[in-house]
Amino acid sequence: MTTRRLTPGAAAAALAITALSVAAAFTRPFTLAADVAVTLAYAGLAAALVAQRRAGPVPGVVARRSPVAGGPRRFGRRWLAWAASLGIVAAFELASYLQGPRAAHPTLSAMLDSLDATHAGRGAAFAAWALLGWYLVTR
Amino acid sequence: MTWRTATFVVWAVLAAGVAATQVAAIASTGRWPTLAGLARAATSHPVARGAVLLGWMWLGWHAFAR
Repeated sequence: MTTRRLTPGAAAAALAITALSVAAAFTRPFTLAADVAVTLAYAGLAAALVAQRRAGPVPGVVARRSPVAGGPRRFGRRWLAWAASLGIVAAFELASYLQGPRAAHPTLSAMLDSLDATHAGRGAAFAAWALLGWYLVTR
Repeated sequence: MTWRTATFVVWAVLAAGVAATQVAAIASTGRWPTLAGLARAATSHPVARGAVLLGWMWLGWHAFAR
């Protein structure tokens, strides 16, 4: 059983991600504002990496008070389901990318563009991307 | 059915497949890895972790800046 609590760093990161996502929601691709929003997210990731390195093995979104069972990390047959699922997704993405026109064979990027067409969708997608980065760095 | 509709149907089926894999992994209570376990394993080596972070950076630039 794991007990978790929100750390001040995680609270600050959540606030920063929210603010940046709201700002990013009002940017458009191929503009300086969009470049700045993504670059600020990179800077936040770098800051999280530095803070984590200074603090040692500290937690991400939440603080872990007891070790979390990660399970064996060795690759083997137990990973086959994921290899198959994600392999098929990657193959279909590649097939869609190579076929044309894009309107007839939408890729994941093309579908994301549709989501990005609204401010709310763009903000939500940006927040999801930023949270993924935070998770990858601090977990 | 147009190619566009057919492609969306395939994407929906693939998304359902990934979701089903995750649900099955959670239900297996540790016998099969979840997506989180996959991320843990994929980033357990420093070089692999760097590659994953570079992929994250590319994704953000591709999706939001360009």
